[in-house]
Amino acid sequence: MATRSKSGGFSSGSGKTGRTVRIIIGTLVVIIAGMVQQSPLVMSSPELPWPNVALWAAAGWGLTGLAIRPMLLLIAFGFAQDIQVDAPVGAFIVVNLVAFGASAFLAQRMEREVSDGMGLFYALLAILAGFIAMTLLAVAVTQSSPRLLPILGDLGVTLLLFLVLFPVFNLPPSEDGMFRGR
Amino acid sequence: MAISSGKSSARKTVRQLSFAGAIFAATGLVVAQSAPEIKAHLQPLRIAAGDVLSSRGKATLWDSLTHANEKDQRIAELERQVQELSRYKLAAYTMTSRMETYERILKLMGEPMTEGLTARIVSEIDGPFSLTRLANAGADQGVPEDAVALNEGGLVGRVIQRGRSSSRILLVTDYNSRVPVLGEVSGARGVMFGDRDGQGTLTDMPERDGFRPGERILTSGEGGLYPNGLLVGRAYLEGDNWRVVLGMHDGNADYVRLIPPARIPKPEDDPVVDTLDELPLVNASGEGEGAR
Repeated sequence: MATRSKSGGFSSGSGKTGRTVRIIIGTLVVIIAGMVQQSPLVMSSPELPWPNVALWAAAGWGLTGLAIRPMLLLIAFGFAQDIQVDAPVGAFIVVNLVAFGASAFLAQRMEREVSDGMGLFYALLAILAGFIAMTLLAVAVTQSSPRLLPILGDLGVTLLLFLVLFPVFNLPPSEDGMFRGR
Repeated sequence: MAISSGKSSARKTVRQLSFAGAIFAATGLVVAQSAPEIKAHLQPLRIAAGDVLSSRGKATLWDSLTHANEKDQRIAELERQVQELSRYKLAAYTMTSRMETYERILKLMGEPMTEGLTARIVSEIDGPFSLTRLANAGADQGVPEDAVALNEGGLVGRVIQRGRSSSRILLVTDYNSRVPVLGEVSGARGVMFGDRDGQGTLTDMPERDGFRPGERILTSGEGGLYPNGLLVGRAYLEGDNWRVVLGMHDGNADYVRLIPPARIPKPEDDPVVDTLDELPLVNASGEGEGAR
């Protein structure tokens, strides 16, 4: 079984530079994926805003533990998502942070050397946690039972695409050695 | 080594506190928006975002590659014609209902035919928080405040946010949507709200068993938001509940017609003032003359 070393399995370099570059790439992926839903490139009409892209970043980045920069980006993403889908401001910030926190919490329980397969599994669980938080928030805000089918559909698409995009959001250790499994 | 470990521990604590603080702050922000005054402060931001989203061009990259623009233009032209015709169809329903009322009640004040404009739906939000559509017409194009949205199938919703070039429409299928309705045949009244399956449910019915299965459900005009007689759908009984198969699902999802709401001014807002100028002066001989 393939294992991921402390320096990160996909990064050519380690430390702050490699991490920063990966965060920037991940941010661009989230922004582009979010914008495609609302851009002239979209073939469907009307366009369908799809606010779950930031969960990829939350789940992937959380595997290296809690960190300030990813947290600030997730808050910014959440704010944009709230405006995009007409949710109460703060709702998707909570959702993103719950997924981020869940990912970090699960990562802390790992061994120091951990397979990418397990990392991916924990990230998927974190996305699931984000969706559960979103559903519960929606129930609390709208005071009605949620429409489960669209939510499950979104969850399926988010998980499937994350399987492909996981390497993009798989960060090397942070500056002070924080990495998943610590 | 000990210093480095202490630094790392302090950083970890700062991160954890920041994380907890951010979660609490965001949750507090969500809770705070249950107050309409606070929510209203965020409306301009949403309206501005809606304007930006609706200002995107119509032609897509795919359209350019496949030369689909000409076909699309033709389709759009035909759709506009259908929209116009559907307007007359809906007007016919309205007039039928009104005529029946006229026959029953003499000298009932009728409602004028409403004007409006057709807008394209550029974005739809089918999320867990709300069911809304964003249309590419706003105040600059003449969309009135609280405008009512229709398609050829019937009532679609109501404008809840109006920007300069966009309008956000709360669909009648949203749980928070409330539409006063009446049965076309039975005359029974109720309030319809959106349900999870995309259809409507009737509630607040003074006459519990008043509706007839299959009859058309129209807006009753009560409350002054929706004009009287707009087609909403057809009634059917599901268990003990009266439901409505919404007509909007039969119509075009890409275009809506936005018409003004049926706002009738209250007497105190539009009073008739009898001034002395208008009173006839009666002199001792009984001849009238204008007086001051």
